Amino acid sequence: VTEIARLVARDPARWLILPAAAWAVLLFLPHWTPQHAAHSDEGAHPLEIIAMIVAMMLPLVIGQMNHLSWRARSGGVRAALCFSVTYCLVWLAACAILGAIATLTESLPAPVAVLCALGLGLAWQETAFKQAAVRRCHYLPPVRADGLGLLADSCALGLRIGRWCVAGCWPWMLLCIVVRHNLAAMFVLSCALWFECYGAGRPITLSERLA
Amino acid sequence: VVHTRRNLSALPAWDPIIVWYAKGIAEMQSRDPDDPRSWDWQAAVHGSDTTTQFLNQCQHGSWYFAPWHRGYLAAFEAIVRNAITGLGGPASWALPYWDMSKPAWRLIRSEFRAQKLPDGSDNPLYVPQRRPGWKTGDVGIAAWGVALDSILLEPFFAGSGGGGSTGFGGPVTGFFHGPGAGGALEAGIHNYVHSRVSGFMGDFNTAGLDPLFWLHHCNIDRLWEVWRKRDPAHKDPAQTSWKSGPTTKKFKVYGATGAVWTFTPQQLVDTKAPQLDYVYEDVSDPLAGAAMPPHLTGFLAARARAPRGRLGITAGGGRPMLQVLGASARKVRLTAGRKSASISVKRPKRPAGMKSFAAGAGKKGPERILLNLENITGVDPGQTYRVFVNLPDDGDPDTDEHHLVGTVSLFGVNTASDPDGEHAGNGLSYVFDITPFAADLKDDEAKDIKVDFVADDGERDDDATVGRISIVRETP
Repeated sequence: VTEIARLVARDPARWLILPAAAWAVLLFLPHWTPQHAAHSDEGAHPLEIIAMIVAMMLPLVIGQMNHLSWRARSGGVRAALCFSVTYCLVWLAACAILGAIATLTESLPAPVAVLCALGLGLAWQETAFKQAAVRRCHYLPPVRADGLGLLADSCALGLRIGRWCVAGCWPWMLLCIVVRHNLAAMFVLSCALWFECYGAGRPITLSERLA
Repeated sequence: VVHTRRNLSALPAWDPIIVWYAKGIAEMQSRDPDDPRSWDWQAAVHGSDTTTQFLNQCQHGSWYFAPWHRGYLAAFEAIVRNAITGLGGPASWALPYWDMSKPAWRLIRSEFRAQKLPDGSDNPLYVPQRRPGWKTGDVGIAAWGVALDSILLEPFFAGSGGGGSTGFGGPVTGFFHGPGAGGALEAGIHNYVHSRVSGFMGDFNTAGLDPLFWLHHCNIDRLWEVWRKRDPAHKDPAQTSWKSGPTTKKFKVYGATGAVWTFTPQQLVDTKAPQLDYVYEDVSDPLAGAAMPPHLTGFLAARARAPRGRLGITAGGGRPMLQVLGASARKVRLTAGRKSASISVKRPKRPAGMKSFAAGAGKKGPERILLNLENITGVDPGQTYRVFVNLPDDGDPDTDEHHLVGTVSLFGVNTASDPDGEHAGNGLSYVFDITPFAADLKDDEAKDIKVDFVADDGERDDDATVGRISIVRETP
């Protein structure tokens, strides 16, 4: 156990434990069973939304979490967690708005609603604003080394990165909400977002990727 | 035939190697910019506003810095040679390297300042976009900026990054267009010469438009060979992620025939390999066998004997332990002249967060104390600064050289500081080993470490800013 703990403590990817746990929650929540999803008129449970944000979006900010924990003299883990909570709260607020938008599509046949959301996402992907937003999501600012100053800097960074992350990826989150509890679709979208974030050279638009 | 890359600085005036280089460039410049074998295209492979599989690839702040530039340079050399042979030139032509080890060799040669070639045609080696005053040949390249001590004495190729050491070749990364804290080779002589020549050379996206860029990088590539040969402990990374990397995006360039060449670092380790096919005229040790500093010897030995547990896992997964000992509370503005900052550091009794299972916690052991200069932003990539530690207030930077720990060069700072740019406005970062200056630092004792920045130039349009200065302890 000590050996594994030592290994994990020094691993830059250790924060992925949180999204992995969130995926496990999503997998085992009864709400996600296809039978339930197909017949449910209920809105998503807040726990599901939170798990969805942590599962899909937290892997995108591992760089910031490591930055805060490595740049701290003390309280680095606390700073990284403060950052991630603030970041997820920004997404939670955004999901409330996106959920309201998604209700507007309920009158449409499901395939049409999904195609509309998908088209919106692909169109958004080609915009300069989307590119700028994704680039700003890689910001790693100078932070104070410890104490309340470090926590304040962490929260401020969570707000800032959360804001730009929402600005860049809101259509994809809307698509997730529209497809209604489809875990496979969520996972595919997550992989695309992770690739966009960590894929090399940061070409954002499809046209650039294919060039 | 193995081609020999010769020392540009030792060549006679208008040597055929230089004349043919100019003619090859002129031929490339006559091609359509969309032709991958054109001059503009080749520069855009290094940096461009457009990112594709081929353009905007340069690796900085990464352990791929040396191998990527080696592959890039080899492909460029083949294209120039192909152009030269097409013009009736020698098939034995190879890029010369710009050795700066002697004062006279630090001047820009006259062939790169003449507007005409000996035959009266326009000289493509003449590039007016350089630091003001370049026409005299003197762009202020000083001995301290091209010093090789800290570069060639660095025992590790790869650094840990994240505030830790950056090694000789850069921190472990995936495909990384940078900029981040580069390895000793990149952060030292490489960045310094880019900044001193300035103009096209000061920006990632235009650097390849100055013919000096290729000759400078040829010397950087040579220094990789020098580093490997000068000490049997100096080894390239053994990890598959380096040898066959990067995994997320492969390095791709066009060759002389227009065919695509996809390369990995392990294909480039031997310069006599078919795709490279060159040797350097001189890879002798400029430090004449100078020994590794004692603290690095201990560090190297400790890494080599890193304990393994019953599960066979190397302690900490082989990653060094990093611990911030102190950091500045506010930004530091780098003005003309000398600027000082003081960092209060305190060495805890044992590594924080590792109390229960830190190997050797609380015991004296090998360590490196590192000065981190983080988030350096600005607009003028031509600025260079000497960095001193604990230089007395009445000390003279020109004579108290034993306090000098390195140089900060703002190569690429303009693009790195743009918040909408691909580097998110993170700016530049530098890491210096200052272990000898912290040798008297005892456990649980507070101490101030003073850092001085001395600008190499007087007047400038704008000052740069260091976002944070921190002192980090790295243990094996």
